Amino acid sequence: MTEIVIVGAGPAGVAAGVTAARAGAQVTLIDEYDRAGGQYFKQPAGSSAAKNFPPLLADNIQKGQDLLAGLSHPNINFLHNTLVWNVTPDRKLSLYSPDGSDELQAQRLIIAGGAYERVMPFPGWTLPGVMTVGGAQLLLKGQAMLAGRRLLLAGTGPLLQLAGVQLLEAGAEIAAIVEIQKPKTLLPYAFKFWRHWDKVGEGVKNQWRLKKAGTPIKFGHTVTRALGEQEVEGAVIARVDDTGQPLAGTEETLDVDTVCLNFGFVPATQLTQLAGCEHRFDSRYGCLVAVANQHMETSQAGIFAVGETRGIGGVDVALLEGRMAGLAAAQQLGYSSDETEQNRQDTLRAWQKARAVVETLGAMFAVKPGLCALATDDVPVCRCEEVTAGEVRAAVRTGVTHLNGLKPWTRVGMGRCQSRICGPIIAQIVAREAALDVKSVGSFTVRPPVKPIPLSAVKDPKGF
Amino acid sequence: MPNDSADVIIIGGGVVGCAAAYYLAQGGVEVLLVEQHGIGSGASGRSGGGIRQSARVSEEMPLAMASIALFPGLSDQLGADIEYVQAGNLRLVENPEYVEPMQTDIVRQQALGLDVRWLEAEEVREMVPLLKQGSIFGASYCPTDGHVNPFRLTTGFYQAACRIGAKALIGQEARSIRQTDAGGVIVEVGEQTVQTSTVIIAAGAGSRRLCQNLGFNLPLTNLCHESMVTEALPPLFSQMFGVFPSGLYFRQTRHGGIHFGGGTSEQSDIARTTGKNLQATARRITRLMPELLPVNVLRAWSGIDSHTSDKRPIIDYLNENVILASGFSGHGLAVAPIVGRYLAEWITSGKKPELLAPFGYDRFN
Repeated sequence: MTEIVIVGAGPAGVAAGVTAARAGAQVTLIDEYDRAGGQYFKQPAGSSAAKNFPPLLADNIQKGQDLLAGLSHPNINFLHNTLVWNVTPDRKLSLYSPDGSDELQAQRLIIAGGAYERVMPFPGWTLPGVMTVGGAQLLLKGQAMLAGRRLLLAGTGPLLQLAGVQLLEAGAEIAAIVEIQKPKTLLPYAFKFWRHWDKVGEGVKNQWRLKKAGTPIKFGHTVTRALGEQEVEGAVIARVDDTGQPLAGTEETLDVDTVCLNFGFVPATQLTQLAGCEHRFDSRYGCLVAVANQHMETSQAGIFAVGETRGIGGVDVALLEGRMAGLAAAQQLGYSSDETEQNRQDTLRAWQKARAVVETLGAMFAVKPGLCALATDDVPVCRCEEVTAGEVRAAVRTGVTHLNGLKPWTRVGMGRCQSRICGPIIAQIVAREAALDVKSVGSFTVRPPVKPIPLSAVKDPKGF
Repeated sequence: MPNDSADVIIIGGGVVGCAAAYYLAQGGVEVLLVEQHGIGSGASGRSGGGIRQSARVSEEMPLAMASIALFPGLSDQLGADIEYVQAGNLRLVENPEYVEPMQTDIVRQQALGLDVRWLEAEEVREMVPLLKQGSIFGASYCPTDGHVNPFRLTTGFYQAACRIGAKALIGQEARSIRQTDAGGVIVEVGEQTVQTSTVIIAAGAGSRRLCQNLGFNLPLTNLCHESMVTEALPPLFSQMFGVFPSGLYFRQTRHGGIHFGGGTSEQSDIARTTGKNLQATARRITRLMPELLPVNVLRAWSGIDSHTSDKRPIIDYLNENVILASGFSGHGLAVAPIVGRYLAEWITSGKKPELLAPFGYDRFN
């Protein structure tokens, strides 16, 4: 029996692990990837030092290294390259790694599942050269590679501009950044940033840098098409109406070889769902998020959910929630920390403040239903099973009103990604076609294994 | 006052309900199909896909044989490719002590007129080289058995029924069924009330509760099973497989995935995929076919179906207005077409089809 098992070694998971270990608990931290850090604090390959990167990335990499240094604590056992493919409500985990497979019984379980980037399908989105913004960041940080020569960044949210600056600093040419929100819809939120000067400062600084480099930021626009036969040779952008639907006659063609997309994030709730934790539908992200109390404990006793799994929060929230869950889990096992009541109150207040900012950001950059119009009937929406938007809409017209009900008709969500990528997209398309709200079309049932694993690993949980 | 009416209301959009809707509509009967969730969302869409006569109890054998005779023409008739493969069923014997009981059972089935024979281990391996040498001691082989895409079979019947005039209410629950003094039935569906003379309950795992509401306490038990499918592979074998006595079954789908399941099941009214049985099932299939060891599993799922104490369905009038067609005990997919056709015949002619004789509910009184 392991005292505390933490799934996910991003900011939230690492903060939880370090905090619990320092309080005296034995921690097993598990991550699917080779190195800790998650997407946000992704570390460069080999022993490349932070100083070899341009300033903005160098700062991020250094901060990540400072956090990850805490993992050297003797109470922490880090299992890398390890996938948790099933978890039960009584905290039994099934693990798979290329070296073997295993089962773990956790006394306390902290799920820091992170998030997936949301993409919206449009004609040409399956061409080589279309990727997520996070994908371009990974290439840059992990491999010191630029995603392309001339880039279009499209979608919605603060990541577009931040990544834009990182890519500029690394030498990329950015044709444009297109953001579906319009200044007039963003402006009413401005007063909510009163006293969050650091956030405002970051945003202003990024905009200033982009302006200085001559990179156009086009608000109220979206990408509508990627051009090219074998790979991206250009992209079309257009203005959108208030629902996000592109306006005919406003198209403009850009000469780019790469299109990077990010329409915000979708919380990864596969494991909290398998564990039977309560979830609620969040209309801003158009999907489920795990419900947890202020100690980050879910409806399942002894199972905690932190970071993006509880609703997109970003790094500050993730670090705080990780710390709070680490402390609470350790305390439940009888470990006391040297943290004073005053510290605790400070952490709680800092967390409330940080969550308030991201709640505002979430509302500002909420999913726009009109973007579904981009997925014309011939556009594939489920890439694994090659199902088009038209086939999904035809199934809806037979009377299907729930995502699971689409499977007998179309095979959507039944391929390798098990709807992780296509699920939120298809939910939007079905809701729009059936004239229902996204909440009522439900979500695809999460099933083990959460990602494909070989039969050899299923058959024998103790080695091969 | 009822705000709609139909000659027959079918409760349950599974394969039996959809087949009944199709054959009734074909006979010009006004049908309304009511499905609470989605077409094929219950046991039908989660089934193993086996279309077999072999290894059935004697009472069910003639019905299964009549049903299999319908399958070869179904894709054309329904205008939907149901992915039917009639490549035989191999029921593998893994343990030498079961060779004799299996051979005895083959004699029983042959006496009922089924083309089924015993194959020695080497003959089986010639047909399916992927089977590991020494892993089996022979098999029963029924060449007219096969498998189908259960999704396509169910939606195929449904769409064909709709094309010839059947109506459907999808996503709405049949909340109550009550007989009227005038000799008809009122069914409350969602916010509507629909009047009819005949109701077919073909609600699978939901049938027990509907029957209870009508005052019938039938020996129906809901069991939850789990199965799995692998990533798509090139064509490896075309037969349907069963394993005696472990209960494992598997087939390769048109899509390419190996779909397998069976083994233990537990009593449950909710389909929950716990993964509990996956390990044992994976162990069984890789013992037979070790070459599948590196193949990726894409997903596991579960389903619940309705079982009777003698593992035979109940297909019978519960009263003058309500027919139950449920309790198929995990092997209803293959007989669904003929059951649908006989239900239509029975309702329109008033005469009970002979082959339905063994499925009366009075056998439990």
